[in-house]
Amino acid sequence: MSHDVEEDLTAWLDGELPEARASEVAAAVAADARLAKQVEALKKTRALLSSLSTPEPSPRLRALVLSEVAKPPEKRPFWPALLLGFAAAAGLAALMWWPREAPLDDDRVLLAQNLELLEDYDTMTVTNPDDLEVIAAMKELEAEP
Amino acid sequence: MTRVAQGDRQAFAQLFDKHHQRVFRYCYRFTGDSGRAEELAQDTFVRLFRSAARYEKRARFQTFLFHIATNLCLNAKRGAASRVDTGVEELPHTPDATTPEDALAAKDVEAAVRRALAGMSERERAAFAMARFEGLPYRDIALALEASEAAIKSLIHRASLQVQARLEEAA
Repeated sequence: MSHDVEEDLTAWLDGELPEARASEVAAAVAADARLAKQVEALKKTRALLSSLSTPEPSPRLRALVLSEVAKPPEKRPFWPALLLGFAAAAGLAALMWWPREAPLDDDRVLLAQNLELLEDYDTMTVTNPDDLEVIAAMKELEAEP
Repeated sequence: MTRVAQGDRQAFAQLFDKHHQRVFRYCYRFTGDSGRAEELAQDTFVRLFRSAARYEKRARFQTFLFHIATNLCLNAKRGAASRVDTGVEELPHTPDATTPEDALAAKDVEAAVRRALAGMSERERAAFAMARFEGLPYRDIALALEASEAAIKSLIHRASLQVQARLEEAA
């Protein structure tokens, strides 16, 4: 109870508690010397704070503000937003149309199976279609034990 | 504000004259630096003018104003990633001090309060400054900080205890 009341002391002094709660806190403070002491300390702090002075803003502040609002509102360049829009659209399109692990068709399977053969054609710089048969024959010879 | 929303700069100047010291003072207590506070107060009023069309008549004007100032203060602190100035070299003049001892005491109080403000979280500091230095009701502070009144009550109480502790240390 005492702890709950303690939490409400500042709000009580600020007049921010509902009437019923304010009455409860007032009764608790009247009955508890420790709470009463805490209230006095908070009051003293508030009095010291109210005695503090604050520097004055410089007179030029008014002129600065009024001249600033007299300017037409700064228009933001449109192109960064446009660029961002394009980038976002491109990203989305890429996500939608990016080929995902397309199933292998027969030609691709054949290509994969004969990659070694094709590499040989390339290495030997085959230009004549007749040479293809020679290379195929060489492969068969390699395969024989 | 209705006239300001229509671009009436004279009406805006009247609003500025009426409220600029409070906004400056709030920003000063938040940052601990008068130059920075002036920049933030300037930004607050320029933004107020530019966003006047969005002002709803149902809202209290000071809530709208302090909401803008608070957002700018919080963003400025995040951007600068700096702490509140706790120095005592440029403490404001204390006109009520009648003797050198009084002046020194006032300086000690100011320094203790600055240290306490510097040690608070940003939201504690903002809530405390609005409540204690500007006398805003908790409801308005809650709207300015986009928090519940219960949260504001807690923030202000914790902040008050920190200030009290610093003042007791200085005594």
